[in-house]
Amino acid sequence: MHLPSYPIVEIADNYSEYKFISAGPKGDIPKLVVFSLVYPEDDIYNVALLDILQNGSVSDSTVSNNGDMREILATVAQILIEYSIQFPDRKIFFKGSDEGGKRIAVYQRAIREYYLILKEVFLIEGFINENVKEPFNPSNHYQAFLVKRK
Amino acid sequence: MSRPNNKTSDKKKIPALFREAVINNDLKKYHNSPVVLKKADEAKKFLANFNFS
Repeated sequence: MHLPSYPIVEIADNYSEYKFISAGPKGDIPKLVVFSLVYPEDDIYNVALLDILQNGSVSDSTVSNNGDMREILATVAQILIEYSIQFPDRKIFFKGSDEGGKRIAVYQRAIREYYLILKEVFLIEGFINENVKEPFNPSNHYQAFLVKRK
Repeated sequence: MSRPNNKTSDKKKIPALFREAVINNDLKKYHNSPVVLKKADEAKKFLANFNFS
């Protein structure tokens, strides 16, 4: 599968952290993808997309506006695919970090855009709310997502 | 720094995504950063309300 993604520049040996560089009008912005175990009973890992700031800390709330959201999302999709090859039994959970819901809307748009590719690899479920989830329907809106390799 | 090995163990099969990557275990420190822990907590709370049985 070919998506217009960035190469990974650094990776932890446990495959839980991945670093790549967003390149655009705002310059080079290092990005980090981190997988954290959040629900051991069902082997569910949360995935977070973060900016590495100049002081070395990380942020999930900066809006870098580097004009490359498509490449960033494609890179995250590629990371999800490779992570699921390493750990095929793990489920991956993600939701937007902002209260306004902009991030989850971006994730939803990305899943919709790459759905034909992603559904070949993953079972994708969307949480309508904290009590109800369903197989991903491009016409519906979700609060969070859960994916698992087929 | 070393390069990651694909589990298939054939270096020629390293995914294109990782061909420029180096192993940097310093990245693991971010696992315990306040932001990552906060996001993990939010995920736990969300999932705790869901009945997976």
